[in-house]
Amino acid sequence: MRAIIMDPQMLIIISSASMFFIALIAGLIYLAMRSGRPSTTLSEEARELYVCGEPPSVVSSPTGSTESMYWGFVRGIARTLYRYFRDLMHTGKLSDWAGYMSGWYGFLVVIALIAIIYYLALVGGGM
Amino acid sequence: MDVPLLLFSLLVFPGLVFMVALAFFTEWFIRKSVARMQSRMGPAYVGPFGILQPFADFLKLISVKDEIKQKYGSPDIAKVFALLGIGAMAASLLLLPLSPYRLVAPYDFLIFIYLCGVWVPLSMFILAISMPNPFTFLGASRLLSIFVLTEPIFFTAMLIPVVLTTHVYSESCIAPYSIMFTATHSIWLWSNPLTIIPMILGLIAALVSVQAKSMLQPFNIPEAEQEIIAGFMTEFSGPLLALNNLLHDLDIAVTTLFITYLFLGGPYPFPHLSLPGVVTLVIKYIVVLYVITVIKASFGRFRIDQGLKTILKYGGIPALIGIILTSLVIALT
Repeated sequence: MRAIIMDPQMLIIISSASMFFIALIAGLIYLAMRSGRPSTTLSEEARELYVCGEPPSVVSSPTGSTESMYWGFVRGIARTLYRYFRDLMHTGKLSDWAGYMSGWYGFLVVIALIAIIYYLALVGGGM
Repeated sequence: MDVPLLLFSLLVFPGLVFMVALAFFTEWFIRKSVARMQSRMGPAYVGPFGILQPFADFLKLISVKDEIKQKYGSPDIAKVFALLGIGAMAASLLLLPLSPYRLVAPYDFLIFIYLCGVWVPLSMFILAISMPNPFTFLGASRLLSIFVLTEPIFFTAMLIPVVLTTHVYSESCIAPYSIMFTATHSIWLWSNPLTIIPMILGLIAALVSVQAKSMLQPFNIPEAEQEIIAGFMTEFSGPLLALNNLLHDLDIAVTTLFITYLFLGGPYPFPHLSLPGVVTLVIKYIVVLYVITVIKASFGRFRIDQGLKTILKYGGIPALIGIILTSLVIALT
């Protein structure tokens, strides 16, 4: 057994092609295993959502909105971060807001300057 | 390019057939061990010691059970993404020295992230939201919250041996930051006093994040049986449930296998094609799996906020300290 060393682009192409190829073969095996089983026709009641035996009308919408997904995520993970930034920005004083915003913009300007200096130092000689 | 060997590697060993068999074994091992720890029998009827029970469950769900086509669901999209997730995990094994057709490239660790850290969570998430239900959406948002934390922690932890082997053994490095070189050299990092501490921290972080990304107790929050019915799995039935279970088992098996190789060195110091090598590999795999199983059996389910704090505390902090120590080791050597 010998390792084949290749360039990363080629490996990305081979691994992605392999992924789709395996998925295709697995799909064909799945279809072969399901063959002979007619697609199920169920009553209207059985095709309803499972909401603890209640009809879908008990929920305002049968499918959750993207907003619910967003709030689920924010409440789950980003609540502390959100509160921290909210308290930092919304103190009610305009000067706090201005200080916060100019601080961030200043930080971005510094980062941009460092990137420009770094770029010039790196390729400046060739220009 | 040796096409027959590549096809054999993709479809038989260590590709589709072997990985599916390993996934079923992994599920059986976890179920049986947890059952014994809780004074239950566990799977017992199909095959010796019930070892074929996961395969029998899969076969029954695929070929006997009805596929309930829910009113608002898109089961075909769900199946396509489940199959793509299975394909991504099986394709990632070409990067390991386990494969007879071994592919190596500089920085192929990023390709491992692309296959296992992008395609697999994406497949699971789209699988979850393809069959909508209020419980499903609650489960999917919990799944998303957990993935946002565990995936970076897992890959940061896995980066520790990758960086260490590339720099500590730079003279013999065939491809920097590659899975293959790391897997064949990581065993020696345990005998180096400079590298052992980041390796221990990385292993702890990897185990915690695997527990969370595999949704095993105490992190079975996205499915949360009884609390939110079955979370993102509420509307799965028949063949779709079978594919979801297979994807879940494969995720545990593949991540455990990568931990076994990248942290514990797989069969090394013995070669692959030798009895001591095979025995060493199997023992290391079982040990990692047993640790995961003991954690699963020892805890009840956390709330989502407790779960996220635990992942950060016992996964995030060790991974961060580990990667900082790794940078220091590189600077010193």
